[in-house]
Amino acid sequence: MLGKLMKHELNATLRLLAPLYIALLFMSLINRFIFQLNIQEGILMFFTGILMFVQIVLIFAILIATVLIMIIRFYKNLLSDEGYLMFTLPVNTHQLIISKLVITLFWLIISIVIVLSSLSITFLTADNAGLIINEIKNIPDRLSVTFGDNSLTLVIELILMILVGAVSNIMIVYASIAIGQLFSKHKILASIISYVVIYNALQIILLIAIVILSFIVTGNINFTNVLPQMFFPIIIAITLLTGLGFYMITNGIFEKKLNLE
Amino acid sequence: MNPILECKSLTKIYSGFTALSDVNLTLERGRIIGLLGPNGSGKTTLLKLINGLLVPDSGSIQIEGKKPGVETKRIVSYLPEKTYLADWMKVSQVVEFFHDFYENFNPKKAYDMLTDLKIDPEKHLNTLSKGTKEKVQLILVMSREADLYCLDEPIGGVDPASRDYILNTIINNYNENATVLISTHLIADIEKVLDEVIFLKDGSVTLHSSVDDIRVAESKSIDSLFREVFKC
Amino acid sequence: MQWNIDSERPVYIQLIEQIQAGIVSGYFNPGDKLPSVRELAAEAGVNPNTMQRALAELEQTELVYTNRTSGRFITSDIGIIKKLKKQSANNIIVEFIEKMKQIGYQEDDILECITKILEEMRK
Repeated sequence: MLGKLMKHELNATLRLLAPLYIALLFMSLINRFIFQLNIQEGILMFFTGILMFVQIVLIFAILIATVLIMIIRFYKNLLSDEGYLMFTLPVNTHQLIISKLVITLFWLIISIVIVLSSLSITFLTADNAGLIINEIKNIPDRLSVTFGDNSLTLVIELILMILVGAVSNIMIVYASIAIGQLFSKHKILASIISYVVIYNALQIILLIAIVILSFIVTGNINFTNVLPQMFFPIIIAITLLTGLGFYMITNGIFEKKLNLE
Repeated sequence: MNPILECKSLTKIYSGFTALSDVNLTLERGRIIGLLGPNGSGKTTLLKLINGLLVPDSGSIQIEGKKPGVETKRIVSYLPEKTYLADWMKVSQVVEFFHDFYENFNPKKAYDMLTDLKIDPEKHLNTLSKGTKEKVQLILVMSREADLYCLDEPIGGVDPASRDYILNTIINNYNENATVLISTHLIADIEKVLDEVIFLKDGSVTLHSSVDDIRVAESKSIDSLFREVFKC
Repeated sequence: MQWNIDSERPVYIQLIEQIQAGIVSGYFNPGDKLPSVRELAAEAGVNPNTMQRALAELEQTELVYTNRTSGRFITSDIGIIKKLKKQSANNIIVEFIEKMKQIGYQEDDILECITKILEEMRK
């Protein structure tokens, strides 16, 4: 069932993002050729400017669209009239939430890949490719210097932190939408307020947690010097817990407090 | 005889407003039952509770002995009053969707009915009129071989010829194991098809009886009785 | 067949009456196979359980019988059908006489009236 939900989710969202992806990649190819022509003056320069502008707009459009689609899709498919269909399917609330979570994460990753590809297509040459690869190779070592510990471990922790962070953030959005649904009036306003409150509260809590932990471990509240090895893992753990917490809130609301109009 | 639906002291309250109050109800299999009552009497609330879209505040509700959940959703087929299909899909895609998620869905039956009602499966839902969309939804719901069908105003926005077709479909779909629960205002059109009726008033069941018993006892149609009982 | 079911009286009684009328009028011939309960119910626009009840009663009065393997049939017994026809005719006549009396006709007048009209119809 989960697979079927994900397949359906993919179908429903693909038709929205695919055109943007194709447009961007197409634009990137055009701009690559334009750059190779190396036009320096005249009216043509004006055109190259516009084409570059279009590419940048498309990049922003894709990033914004990915986030908007995630939010709108969750609300429309589960909490508007379509909810009558989704919540009477022989699936449980976990499957409904997870299918959307996974596919949203998928599109976030794909969108970033597409944007990076677009920039590579337009700008990457044999020359600067070498420079970029070198910079990337340096990252693990730089991390090692700042945070101590094995550079491979740090890279893994960094990737994990980004993924867990993404999942947790998505869950905060979903939970805010679900909380908004609890109100009979001004649901959207309630969702937005929930999100703002939760997000800011989390920032504060995270800060306090890190300060307290560093104090406990080393008697020192200046955490940037202290516990470099623990920094990433602590953040990963806290983020994971918050993600889980909001998942349970969302699931709980769907199971016990659903009230479709 | 194992009843398909059992409600015991079922109560549902929305912030101060009691939608259903201490409802006791047993529905046997193989019946076509009318759920009748004015707007706000609790009909839709009851249907939502049966389908797990609401959770009771007190009391219990069981379909085939089980609480509403994944298992009951397999055997209950629900037609809400709303248009609940995604507009961007084609009719054929929605049929495919139902086929995917419901084991007891019969695609051939669905396509036959679409043909009878002259609905083109390749059309996108957002190009269809409201009435046609409602027909598509009804076709999907009736093409499932379920044990309990919950139909909320199935003939409301539909022309008389289609109304006949729909009632005809409900009759033809009949089997001794399954029960059809129809919630409606249009009593006159539907009463010849009903075995039993339930009158719901302000969240309570005021009558649950076979149609013939009522006609014999009151010497009038259900429609007339309804007008009397629910006079404004 | 045109089914005319109203909602004021129990449906199964009306179904019995209309099937009987069908037999008497010759719409249903002796020994005819009847469609399935569901088909008949759909045709009449009524609940299958109600149609089943009507057919069960007709079986009691032997107008209809069920062969377990091949289905339901109208009786081939001409005698029973004749009796039904006679019963129907009697009902019509009784109803007619009562209606005539309601508009003021006496028994002799009624007979006279019938004879005259029958003559006119022959022409």
